[in-house]
Amino acid sequence: MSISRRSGVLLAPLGVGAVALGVALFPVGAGVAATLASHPTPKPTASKPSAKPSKPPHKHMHRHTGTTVTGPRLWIPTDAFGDGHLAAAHSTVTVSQTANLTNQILQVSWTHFTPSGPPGVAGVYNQALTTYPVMVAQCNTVKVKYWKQCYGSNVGGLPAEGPFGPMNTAYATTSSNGSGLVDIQIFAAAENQFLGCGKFHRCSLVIVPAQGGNGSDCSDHSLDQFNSQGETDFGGSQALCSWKDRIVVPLKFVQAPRFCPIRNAQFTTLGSPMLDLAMEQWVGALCARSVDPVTLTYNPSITEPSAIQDLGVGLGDVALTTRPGPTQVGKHKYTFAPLAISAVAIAYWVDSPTTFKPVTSLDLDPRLVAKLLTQSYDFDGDGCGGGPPPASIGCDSAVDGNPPTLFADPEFRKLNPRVRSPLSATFQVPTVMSGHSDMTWDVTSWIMANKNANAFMSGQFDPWGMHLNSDYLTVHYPVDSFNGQDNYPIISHKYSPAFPLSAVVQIQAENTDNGTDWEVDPTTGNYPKDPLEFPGARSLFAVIDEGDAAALQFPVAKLLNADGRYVAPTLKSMAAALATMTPAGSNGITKQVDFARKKAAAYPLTMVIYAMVPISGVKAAKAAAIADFLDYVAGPGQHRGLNVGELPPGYLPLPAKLRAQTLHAADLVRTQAGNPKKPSPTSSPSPSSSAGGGSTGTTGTTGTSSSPSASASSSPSPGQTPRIVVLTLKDAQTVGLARYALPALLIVGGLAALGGASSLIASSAGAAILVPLRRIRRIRLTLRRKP
Amino acid sequence: MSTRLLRAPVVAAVATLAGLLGAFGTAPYAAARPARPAAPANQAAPAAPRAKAASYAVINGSGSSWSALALDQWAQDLRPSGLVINFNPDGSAAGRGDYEADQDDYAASDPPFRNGHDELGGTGADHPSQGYSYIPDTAGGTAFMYHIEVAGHLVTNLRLSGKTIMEIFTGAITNWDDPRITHDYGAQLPNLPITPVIRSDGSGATFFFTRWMSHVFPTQWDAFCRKVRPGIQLPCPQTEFYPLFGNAKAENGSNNVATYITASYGNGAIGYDEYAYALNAHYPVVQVLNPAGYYVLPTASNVAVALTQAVINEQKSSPNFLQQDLDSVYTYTDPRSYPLSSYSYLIVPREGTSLPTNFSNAKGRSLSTYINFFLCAGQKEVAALGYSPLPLNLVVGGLLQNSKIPGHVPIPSLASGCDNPTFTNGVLTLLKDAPEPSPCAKAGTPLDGVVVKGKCEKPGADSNPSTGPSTGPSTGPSSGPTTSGTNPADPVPTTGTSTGAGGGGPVAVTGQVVNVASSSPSKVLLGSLTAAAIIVAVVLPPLLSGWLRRRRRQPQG
Repeated sequence: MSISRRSGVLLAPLGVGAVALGVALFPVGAGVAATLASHPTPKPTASKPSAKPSKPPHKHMHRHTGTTVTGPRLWIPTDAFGDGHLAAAHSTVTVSQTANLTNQILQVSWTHFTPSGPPGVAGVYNQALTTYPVMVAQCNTVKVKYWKQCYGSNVGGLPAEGPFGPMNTAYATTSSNGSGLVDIQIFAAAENQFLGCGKFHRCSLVIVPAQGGNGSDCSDHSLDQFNSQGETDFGGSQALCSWKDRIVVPLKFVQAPRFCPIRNAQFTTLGSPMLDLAMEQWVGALCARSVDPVTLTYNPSITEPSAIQDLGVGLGDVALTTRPGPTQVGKHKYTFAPLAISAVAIAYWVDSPTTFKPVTSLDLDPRLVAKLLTQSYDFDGDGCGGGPPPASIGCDSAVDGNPPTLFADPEFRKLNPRVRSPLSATFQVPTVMSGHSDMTWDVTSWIMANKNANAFMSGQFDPWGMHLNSDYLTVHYPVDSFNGQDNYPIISHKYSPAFPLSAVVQIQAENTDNGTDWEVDPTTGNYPKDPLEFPGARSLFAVIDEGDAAALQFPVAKLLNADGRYVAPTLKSMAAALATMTPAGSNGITKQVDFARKKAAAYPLTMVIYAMVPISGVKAAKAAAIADFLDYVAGPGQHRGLNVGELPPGYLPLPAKLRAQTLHAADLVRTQAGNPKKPSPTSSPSPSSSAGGGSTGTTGTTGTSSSPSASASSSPSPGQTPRIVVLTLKDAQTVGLARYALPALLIVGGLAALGGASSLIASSAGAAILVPLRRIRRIRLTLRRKP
Repeated sequence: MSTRLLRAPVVAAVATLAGLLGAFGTAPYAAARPARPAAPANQAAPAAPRAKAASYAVINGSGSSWSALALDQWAQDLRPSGLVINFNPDGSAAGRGDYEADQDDYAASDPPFRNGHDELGGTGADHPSQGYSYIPDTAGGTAFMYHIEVAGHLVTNLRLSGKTIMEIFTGAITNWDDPRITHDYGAQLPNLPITPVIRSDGSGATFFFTRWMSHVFPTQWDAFCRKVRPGIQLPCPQTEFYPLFGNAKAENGSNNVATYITASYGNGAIGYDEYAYALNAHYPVVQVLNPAGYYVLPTASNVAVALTQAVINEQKSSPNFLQQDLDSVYTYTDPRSYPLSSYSYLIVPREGTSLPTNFSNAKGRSLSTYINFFLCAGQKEVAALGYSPLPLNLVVGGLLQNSKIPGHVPIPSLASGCDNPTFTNGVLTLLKDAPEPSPCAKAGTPLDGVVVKGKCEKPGADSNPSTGPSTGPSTGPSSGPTTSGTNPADPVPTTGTSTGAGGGGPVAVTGQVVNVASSSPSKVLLGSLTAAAIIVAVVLPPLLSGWLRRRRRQPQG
């Protein structure tokens, strides 16, 4: 259920908090009047954290700046048999934002709640096992009296799909200190008509703390160990006591956007999946405006090299790219217009083995990234010098003698002394995008620009004696396409790039990699997909874009720049990187980071995304539409914000100089300045384009020469070994996972949890948790295939 | 509002033990990414009149991963118009199951509901209690992506007949130097074992491929079935689950098939896959011999030409009522027709029958709006995604079924309201506009033939072999202002790509090879594939040693 696949915008943590403060004064609690009263009625207090707020674990976070309300005193068990007492302090709930809401993600946190159990699996919500969990649901009123007013609230998480679309209920646990936190996606009227939330239809969030009790007597907790688990807390008569202690937080939505009529597109844009989130904002604003509306199609599945090729065969009018393209394709001349600035990000989930919290700061240098991308660790001790490998497949001599995981690598430990191996850290094979991509080229160029990584890629040992997976000795970075090299079955089944970029993001969001088991499941005849990794025990990496990472608030690695600093992608670090950019290609406009240029604050994988726009051979109406688009993007489209038409998080607005280039390009497009009659003063009309580009800069320009004389040598990946390019036309797609849609997983996860209960109890935590998942998936498949 | 967009270091930062799944799991689960945020009209749209909220009911569907990219793209196109179309690409079989289980308002499936046992897959029939219609959504060709290196170069112009393909995928041909391959191709490939790559999961690609084999080569298909499943009841039908055989390698999902083939260890591999994956990987696919005697690629236009012969079975008494009937597609004698062409369906509620529990007229309005869009203007976008546009006959059939959805909106007129790229004003223009194959694509022409004055001839003495004979006249049918987007394969002139370089004795390599170290935009090459195939003398490059070195350890056992 891809909530219409994406689009994003999440909270802007700091700033929004401040705004939210101002609107935090709603009366709350009306709905709670209905309580039967064995507990005090919750009272709202404006934005005032309770007396002793749980200490924010991270100094950068100020999550408690949203709206805070006070709830009842909740149960504190002292043993598993019903003994305990009410907490001394009132519970509190803080919602990160409660006004100016759209379809977005909110963060809900709480204090002085009932700690969840059972011991040993705390921190990981398990539908069947977790005691005293917490549910957050969205309701279609501010006067919440009944479960049924809150979408998907009384089904215990099942099913994930309802009559009005995916359910957005969120479940979580509370830590031993009484605090907890969960994200919930809220729906506006367009996304969910049952809720119908809008400017004139107030809605709310309900936070339900599981309280056990026996239904008629909420003070009797003797059966809590049975009644207070997972779904039984949120539905049915047993949940009565929990419902009584619900806390309601009103929400205020903005006016719905103006909808566009369904019109034929005036032009088609392809390429640069990393700009997708910004493009969605702009497209939605342009088609809705009353003056000069522009309707365009944007296809974010197509990667940059393919987008440029598609121009030549009439599949698109505008290509988006970060590397320079030719200035002529077919009969059209092109110029380049900067649209926005973003970056490649290396997203990760690395959970502490002791606190189960995700690590939020991780440093990676190019050699470590190279090690990950080449599967150079001796995962599972499969190296021929290591432990006993599965007899049937021999061992993987390509990684002999290497550390078993990233976390055991002395280089990593030196850089990240405080990061310890997550519980299920078996494989760290990053999820990457398949096919040809500018992002891939950028990452691998950055690797090769580093002396140590470069030497490693050529086969030299690192100072601790680790070497490249020898199957990769024939690969010569930079490349614009990741190709598997290691045929060892366990590794080749883990190495599983995804397509398109949105699918890579989705996989990371789902807490999984894209790999499979190496052995066929005898029941299904298929390779079982790798199970989800449970939050609290994850070690997952993905190469994605900063726009998506920011929208989903993924942790992203700090990467080594030329100045020797480890820097995360932020607006500031992307801005700093602009200063390290040098011209790429011969068109006079496109620029890329020079990985050798030192600037302390620069994030090295920063990229400017350009529109390659036609300045000749296009009819006036279409030319005007394209020009209008550029004008908009260079103007209102650079305003950062969460509204339609604004630039979402993860994108740096263009500085004035680049905006001027865009506006100038708009003029060239509008006047079709490249037409023979009026030669453009600025764009060099070299007809055969800039294959290979002038500047040989460190990044090696490529041109995609599609001029008729195409020499077969404009290699985007010089020195790349066998394979590469041969035919092609466009890029295409595939498997489209609708981005971000996962409710179905809830079902799977839920079943898994149920099925796994027994084994879970037997083994307290960690990798063993994963076993049942596997089994459940099989069962599910089997069910599917019966008539 | 002035939001300072300092990146949240991570949601995670604040996490306590508690709520981990919730915080980092559930939110994404629950839909992870918010859909387009709303905006105050006066910000995003200066001077915009008050928004008139079109009220479209949200609709929910699931199913085919193959068509998901197009379905998603169309949903994204319509989102600014207030239409929210959820789709979960959980696979065709799962999607059909969801529809049966009343979890969907619509489903997407490559195969229709199974009305009988899938003998090879060992699965039973589907028994939906709900009524339904099939509406074509995306079309495409079953492509045969392969990886054959000769002296460090990729062969890119492989030609095979349907029968040879069948024999490869039933284990009768196991080496690339087999005379039957040589016969089709026109030259002998090296001694290299064939690794057929099949899907390990149930898939529409398998269904379409095996349907073609079981219909075109029934005897051989039955023999294969007997071999892999002794005692199976004949005639052996198509299956969604390809049986393992011989040296075959099974991979989970389309992208993994492509990943295996493109891997360094994929030399010798050939797999059936959607064309899109080969395009994404920039890898060659087999030119398949069609009944007209031409070797053709599964380009958007070649598939669309073939599918002009597809019909939707409208005989109510037939067990295949409303299903696609591709028999005439397989045998179509248009020189452009790609025989292994097929399309995927949307399964939608049908008036006068039992409806999915959650369906309503309001949802019918949304669903039919979506379908009207994708059958018409939406088809212009599919070629870039690796699909083929649905031609007139399928659009007509689809619109007819759309008119039977409860609560449907008016159906557009073919004459003026349907901007499908294969026809104009209701008249099919595809057959007129789609480019013809090169004369050198005809069976029996020399592999190194060049087009001279409209005929395929052996390269003359005047042609300089080192520059590659390719392009000259092969500009052929290229770039007419064809229906937009129907022909991504328009030949673009190219040069041959021989890389004669010093060292070693020249090795005569057959086939059009491409210096793997050079990757020019390959559209270029594609052109030559349809235009003129060539034989290039290639000098053994140093790459070969690296290539050999790479063949290290193989898994044992």
